[in-house]
Amino acid sequence: MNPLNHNEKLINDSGTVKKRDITGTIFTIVCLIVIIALIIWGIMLFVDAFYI
Amino acid sequence: MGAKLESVKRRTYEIVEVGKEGDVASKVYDTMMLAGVIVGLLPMTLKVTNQYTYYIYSLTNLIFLFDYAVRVYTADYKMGFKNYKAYFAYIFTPMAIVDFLSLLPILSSFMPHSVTIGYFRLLRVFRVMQLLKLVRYSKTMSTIQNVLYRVKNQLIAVLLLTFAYIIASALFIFQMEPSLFNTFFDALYWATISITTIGYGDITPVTFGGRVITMISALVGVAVIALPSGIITAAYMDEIRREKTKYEK
Repeated sequence: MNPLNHNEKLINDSGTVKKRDITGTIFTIVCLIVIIALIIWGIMLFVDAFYI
Repeated sequence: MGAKLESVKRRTYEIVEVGKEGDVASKVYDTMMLAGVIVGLLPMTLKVTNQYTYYIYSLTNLIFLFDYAVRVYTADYKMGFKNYKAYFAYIFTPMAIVDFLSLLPILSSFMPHSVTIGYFRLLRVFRVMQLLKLVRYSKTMSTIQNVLYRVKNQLIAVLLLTFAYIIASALFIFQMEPSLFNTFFDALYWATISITTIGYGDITPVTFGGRVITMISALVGVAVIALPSGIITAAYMDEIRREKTKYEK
């Protein structure tokens, strides 16, 4: 299965057709934000419980 | 429009499934699910609750709800046939059941506090089911899953044998030592603790007959408790050998 299988077609320098993965990009950005939020809240949970 | 939607659906399916080499979006999604499972369970290790407990529960609930919805939506790709039956078939697969059970704690967050302090509090326990989601991301764990599935009949047979023995020995001891047990449940508890060779010693037989049953229970326990380990180990070795042969071909 090709992960880059949909959305806009792009032609790169070597002349081969490449497709822009918009769904993948949206997923990546949202997931990264969620991961960062989870890590910060996970740390704050313990900081708040033990040190404040 | 339809074709575009279909390609978005296909791509979404690839992302939520375990990531293939080079697929960054899928790897990031897997990492988010792992972080969700681990961080989602952290509040359960604390006695106190604070605002971060609420934030973490809300976010992880949202992630798992989204994950379940997307997996059901893309079930036709997963099951391999384009039909409404694919959705029904998918929701009864073991992993989909695990996903659904781990969503149950969401119900408790919609209920008023007066309700959730009762039996509905138990719903929160299902949060632990999230740990089973990790099975999806480990190849070794899926091997164990295959092994357990293959030997399920033997394991059920051993389990039934154990239950039968526990009930039989509980009935015996309940008749032999009526003063020792208030209810039959106590006898069942004693039989289970004896057969598993745990032996807390909070209930100890005093009559000759009771002690004989205890001795037999302890000996049978050693054999019965060792059986599942043997069955699983043999099947596990067999599975590894099979995978090795497949790899060499």
